[in-house]
Formats: sequence, structure tokens, C-alpha cells
Amino acid sequence: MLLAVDKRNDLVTPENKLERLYLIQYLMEVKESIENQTFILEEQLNTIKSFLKSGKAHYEGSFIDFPTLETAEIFSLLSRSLTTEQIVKFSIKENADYFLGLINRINSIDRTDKTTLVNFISSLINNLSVQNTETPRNFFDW
Amino acid sequence: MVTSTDNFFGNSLQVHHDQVFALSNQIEKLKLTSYPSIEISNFIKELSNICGLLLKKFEGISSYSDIKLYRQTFNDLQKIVSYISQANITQHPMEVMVPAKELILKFGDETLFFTQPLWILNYAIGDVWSRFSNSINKLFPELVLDSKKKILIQFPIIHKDDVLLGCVMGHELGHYFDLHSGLNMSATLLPQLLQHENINELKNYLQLKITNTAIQLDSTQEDRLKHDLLLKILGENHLINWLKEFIADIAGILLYGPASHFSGDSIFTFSSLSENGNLTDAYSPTHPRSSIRSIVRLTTFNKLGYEQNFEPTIQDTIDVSKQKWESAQTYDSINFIDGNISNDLVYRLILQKESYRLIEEILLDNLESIIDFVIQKIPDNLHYSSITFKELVPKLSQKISNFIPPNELLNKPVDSISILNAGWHAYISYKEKLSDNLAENEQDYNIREVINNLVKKALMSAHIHRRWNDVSLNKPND
Repeated sequence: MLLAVDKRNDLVTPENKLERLYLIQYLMEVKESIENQTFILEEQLNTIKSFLKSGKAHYEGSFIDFPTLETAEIFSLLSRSLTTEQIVKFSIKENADYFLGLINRINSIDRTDKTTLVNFISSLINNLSVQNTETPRNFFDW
Repeated sequence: MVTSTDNFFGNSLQVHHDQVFALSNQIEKLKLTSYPSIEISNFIKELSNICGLLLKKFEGISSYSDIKLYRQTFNDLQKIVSYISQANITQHPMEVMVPAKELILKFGDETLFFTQPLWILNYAIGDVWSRFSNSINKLFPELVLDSKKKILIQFPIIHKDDVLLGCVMGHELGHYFDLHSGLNMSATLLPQLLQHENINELKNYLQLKITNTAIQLDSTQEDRLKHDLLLKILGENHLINWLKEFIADIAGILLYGPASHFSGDSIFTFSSLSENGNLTDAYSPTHPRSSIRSIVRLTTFNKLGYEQNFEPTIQDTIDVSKQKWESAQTYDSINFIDGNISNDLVYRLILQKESYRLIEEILLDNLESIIDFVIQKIPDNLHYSSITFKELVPKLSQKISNFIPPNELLNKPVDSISILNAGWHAYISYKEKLSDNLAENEQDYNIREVINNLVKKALMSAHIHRRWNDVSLNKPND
């Protein structure tokens, strides 16, 4: 839209809640398989890998398409799904690299790494379930 | 997990069934209306089929998680039905859509366009089908869906017959090519823009507050954290939104020529005029300042070689537009983007004059390369050239000045974009001549309306003429 008013919108962006539900289903299946040490479908692993690679590329200044989400949203999801410790100690790119490494050797990771990965995927699922809304105001005395 | 054994399940299912049934009735009514193309009628039948299957699902599903999934499908379906509910023939801006459809067809996309009139001064565009149909394919694999994209164009109903203002469609098509055609222009450019050195300076406007005393940040960690947060914030908010508008403005000029500028500028001016005659400008989370967009359009003109091709009257109008935006007064405001990291840390990006300037500078420093990128990404055969403008538009405009529809030159049909530009050219150059030559009994006619009517006639006639030529060319030999 072209108007000079504060709140403008010239893009009809249809809800993608259904696609999110499917992505959440994939992630839940992967999480449960890791927890139960059962077989994980290659397709599901590839979905997470593509997700992480897309977010990492965004950080590095290049674009890798991920079919269901915008790469900026992937980057945002990554940042919101990391623990404070992870985000303070390492850049989002380094964290993405770390999780990519874990997924690449999924069948041989130790218990600690497994827990870290499961927690990260759980957090991703939670953040995906919440539609991207306006940022909440922090009513702190700045 | 709650299952179908609980007491409320049957009631919950019935409630959902009733809602779907109500929607199904509304879709049946839409089937009885006339639409500008048979494809819209077919699309409504397709929506009806989906609704029918949903209705059956709500007769026999057995878990709350399924109800949730199908309810979401229902919500999305209802939204699409609401969009298409006014796509009927009487409210369709037929002529405005002719050039838009021609360009999409040339691009090679199989797309169904439908329109929704609004009583607010707002144009909007979006693909309402691709994502939904992907999910429907998974949900109802037995259904064979039409794979064509379904693009909704919302437009101000008061512009339905103002084909000159309808040239805003050039900008809207810019969004189409960026976001719905697979060209992914803004998505590709954004990560590069986020490497700009101003990200470092913007760190001065990002405040962090640690709410968990167990956490300590050294200066390196704080610096990196601010960098990462800025990438997140700008990628979700102002920078990406403004980039999308830059791309649509550039594409507007590339596809529709100066007509895109004149229509956009006309609407901006209408919305921005203050009591003292100055234009007012404002920072918006969704759109760049209009004065910045003026720079974008003028730089695109220069890139495309229009500079030397405008006649003095047209150049004067463009110069006036440039000057009024250069002297526009920006309403200064302070805004915040707030967020948090778990319960440990809160952050705030302060948006005020200087930080806004830094964000604008990221885009303006890259303006030339953004224009080059858009020119390179949108196929050449869709570009409207400054040479065509110079060769055809003044001649066609002269026809309009004599009350002749500008649909052909030397017995050949003229392209739609030249016709639109001729309309604007005549409106700028021949308003007085047209007014003087109106017969006495026609003085009530508005010149704008006269030009719009001539342009509309020309768009349809030339379109039919071209189709006729195509049929003749493709006719098999007897």
C-alpha cells in the first residue's frame, strides 16, 4: 500500500498456521525418536538440517531458501530457541553449526548432547506454536 | 491425552460441524454469481469441494488434535472465501487488470487473479492459495487441486474506474514478482544488507538489561549479542519491510514506466498534505518515508535512461514532485522495539531520528545495486523501455488530446503500458486543451473522467486487437 499513515499494510500475508502445524509435527516426531532412540526418517532430519543451514546462511550474508518460512523468521526462531547461556557464549551462527554437527552424527552423540538437542527442538516447537506477534513492551525503567 | 471418551467430545464435534455447514451455505450462494472469468467460478467450486470434505471429517473424527487441525483448515478456508466474496463482475476493475494479467502471462506464470474492493485507500496483493493448497494436499490427498497460484488484489473501490490511479498496480506487481513468483528478491538481498557497517553504529541504540544477576556479560559478549539481536530485529521489522517497498517501487517503474511514478506520487501527496501546504512525512514500521521513496523512483528513472527522454512539461511535473518531497517535513517520533531472552535479559531498540537515518542509509547506500538486481531478476521482455516511452507516448497522448482512444498507431495495436503512460501524459500536458474543446453541452464532464474513459477503451480495444492478430498468426494453413 502507498498511504502515509502509520499502520500500513500492502501485503496480504495469509496465515501459515497449517504449515506450521506440519513443521511442528515433523519436529515432534524427530524429538520423540531421539528421546526413544528409534529410527528417524531421513526426510525429517533433512528438514531440520535445511532449517539450520538457512538460518546460518542468513547470518553470513547469503540466502538459502527454506520452503515454509522466511529466512529472517528462521533466524529469529533460532535466536528465541537458544538458552541464555548458549546465546551469550556463542553467536547464533556458531550455535547453528553446533546443532548441525549433532544432527550429522545423531546416532553417536552422548547423553548430554542428546539432552541439549532435545531441549533445543522442544524450544523450537514452543516458539513455532506461538504466532509471531508484536514484540511485548518491556515496562522497565530504562 | 484427551480422547473421544470424554463427555464433551460429541458436542465439540457438533459445534465445529455447524460452523462448516454455515460456511458451506455461503459458498453455495457465491456459486450463483457472475464472475469476470470462468476460472473464478471453478475456484469457488474447488473451495466448495474442500468445504464438503471438511464437513464429512467433522462427522467422524476421533481426537481433539484432529479437531484442531481441521478447525485451522476451516479458518483458512473461510478467510479465502471472504476474499473472493466480492470478486464478481460488477465490482471487478476490468481495464486496470488487463496490463497486469498480460505481464504475468508474459512471465509464464499460470495465475488466477481476483479482486476485492475496499472502502479504504489501500492497495494490497498476496498469494492466498499456494500454502493453503499444500496443506490441503496432505489433508485430503484424494482431492486433485488446481495448481495455479491464486493472487488476491485488494483495491480502493473508489478507484475502480480510475485507470490512471490504477497504475499503482505496477508497484503491486513488483510485490508479486518479489514474493510470489519465485524470484525471492527481498529475501536474497536482506542478508547482504545486514552486513552493512551501520549495524555496528546501531548497537548504540540497542539497550540490554540483565534481569538475572547470575549472568555477567563481558564487552565482547555484549557486542556480539547486540549484533545478533540487531540482525534479528531488523530482519523482522523495518529493514525488511522497507526493502520490500523499495523493490516494489523499482519494479513499478520498470514494468509500468513513469505511469507508476505519477499514480504513486498522486496518492502519496493526497495522504500527506498539511494545512500550510507542505508535505508531511513519517517513519512507519511497514513503509519507508515517502521522501525516500521519491529518491528511489527518481534514481530508477535515471538508471533506465528516462532522464533525457522526458518532454519539458513532463520533466517539470517530475521536478515539482522531487522538490516537494525534498522539502517535506518529517514528523519526528520515538519508538521502541522491545524483546527478551528467556527471563534473563531484556532488550530495547530505540528508534528515533538518528537510528532511523542509519537504517535508511543501509538501503540508500545499496540503492544502485538493489535497482541493478531488480532489473537483472525481472526478465527483459517485461521491462518497459524509455525508448518506447519516447517513441510512442507523445503520439498517443496527442490522440487523447483530440478525444481519440490511443489504442493503435499505423494500424497496429499499441501495448497496454504505453496506453497507460499516454493517459498520464495527456492528463499532464493537455488538460486545458481538452477542457477548451469540450462541446458546450458536455461541460459537466470531468477531464479526468474523459481521459480515463479513452484509456479504458484503448486498453480493451488494443487487447482484443492483439488477440485477434495472435489468432490470425497462429491460424493453420488452409
